[in-house]
Amino acid sequence: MVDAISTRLLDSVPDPTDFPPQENAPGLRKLDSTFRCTICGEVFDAPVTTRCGHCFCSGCLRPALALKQECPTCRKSTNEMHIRPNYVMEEAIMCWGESRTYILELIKREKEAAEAVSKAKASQRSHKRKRSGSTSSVEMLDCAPGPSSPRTPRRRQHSPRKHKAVDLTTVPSSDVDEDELSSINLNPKPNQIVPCPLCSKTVAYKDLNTHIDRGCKDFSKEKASETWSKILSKPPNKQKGKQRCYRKHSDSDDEQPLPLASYATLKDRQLREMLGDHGLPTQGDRSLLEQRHQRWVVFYNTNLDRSLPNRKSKSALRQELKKWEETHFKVKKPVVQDAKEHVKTHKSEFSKLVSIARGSQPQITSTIPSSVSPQPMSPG
Amino acid sequence: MTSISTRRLAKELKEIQSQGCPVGIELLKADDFATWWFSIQVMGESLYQDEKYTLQFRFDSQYPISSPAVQFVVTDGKEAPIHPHVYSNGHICASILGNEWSPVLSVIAVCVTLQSMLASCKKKERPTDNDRYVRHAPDNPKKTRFHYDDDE
Repeated sequence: MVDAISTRLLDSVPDPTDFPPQENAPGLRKLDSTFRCTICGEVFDAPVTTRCGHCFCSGCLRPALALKQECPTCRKSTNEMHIRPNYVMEEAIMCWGESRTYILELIKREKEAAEAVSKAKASQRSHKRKRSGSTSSVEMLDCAPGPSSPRTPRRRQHSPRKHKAVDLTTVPSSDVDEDELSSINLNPKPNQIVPCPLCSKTVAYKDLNTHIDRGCKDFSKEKASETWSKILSKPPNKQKGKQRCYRKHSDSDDEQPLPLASYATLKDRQLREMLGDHGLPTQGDRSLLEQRHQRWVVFYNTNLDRSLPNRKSKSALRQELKKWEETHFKVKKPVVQDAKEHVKTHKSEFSKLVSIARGSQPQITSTIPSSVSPQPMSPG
Repeated sequence: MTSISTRRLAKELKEIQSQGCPVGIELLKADDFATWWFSIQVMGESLYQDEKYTLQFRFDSQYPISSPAVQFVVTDGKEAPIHPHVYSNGHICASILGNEWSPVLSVIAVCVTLQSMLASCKKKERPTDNDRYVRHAPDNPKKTRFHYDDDE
């Protein structure tokens, strides 16, 4: 029954069940759900904390508080003024975004390797029965993870359970990819340049771990210090000044959250002005204008809950608003799939229009030539 | 671009498919992200032993910020349970579906709450104003302003 729902959508929506259950991958599902907003179920976007300590996406919490001033989780009373950005969580989810794909890839590889081993074993058994010769014993040797063998990649081909039992003792817990390294060079020197087992970029051996920890993305130290100096030099402006003063600032340092408007007291003209001030379209009926402005305030304030380097530009926010409007106020334009069929079904309407057009034609041609020019004008 | 409500419902559905529903609750039909049906049964000793009811959930584009419209199905020979908070047209007077709704709640959380609402019932009876309410009830129970009095 459920299959009727496009399975593509279900597959495209990542969630904690992407990870194996607790028995096979301790903590991973829980970890993934810890990084998710309990309102939208997505990995946090601009995480904020209420004064009771619960964490949500800023863009989820703000509309919820607009309806009801209490924490969605524990129902303790709270309001927009109590919202605080959670930069550590923001940092954590950025790292998680990278390591999540990496971990899933590792899990997938391990599973494939385990399957390959069981397949190989099965085929060996049948080989053995057929040939029962010396060749099979050689194959067996090749596949057997002999502890004396200098080449160790086969070690990874155990089933996950075995992996736990055997490998924890043999492999120093640090990482699985040692196996692949060792196949290239058993003991690379710290400054030796080695290819990364994941992205095959060349890295100094001593930097390999940090390289992998960063999800194979190397950023310079300079950039990190730059971002810090940015953060440190511009502490979020908590001062509550006049609400209009943000307009005087340049685009980069206007950090005042927008106040919630009380739309009941605003005239259409004022509302349009407010939208215009932010470079937003002023078309549409009253309710659209109100919802557009309300959503803009959410997007705008949510953006301020991001740490400085992660903030989006105003034009990106406008794009977001446009997308939001498109999904929420779907203008249903009928799309003509089959033109011939369309012409057939609407034949009467078309012919009516044609006759109306024809009927008006002679009038124009008859009035214009007589009054304006003596020569008959050719229509069209 | 898929809306937040669709994505959130897709996640809930995925969880139901992979982990199953709690005991006594079953997903009957979820062909789209607008209306879902569940069967609900009270486990253990209760006034509703061996009775099975059908719950209907309707979602709007504001879900989960706004609550789903939840009611018992009373068509096709199905009936609403006789309970002091359940009207004969299937509408349910439960604060969690109205002013006590929270966006962190889920479809399954609602099912479990309603299951325990039935389980804790001490006397099978209709709400006192049942006839009056049913005569003028709107199609969508969310349009009713219920007065939540005796919360257990």
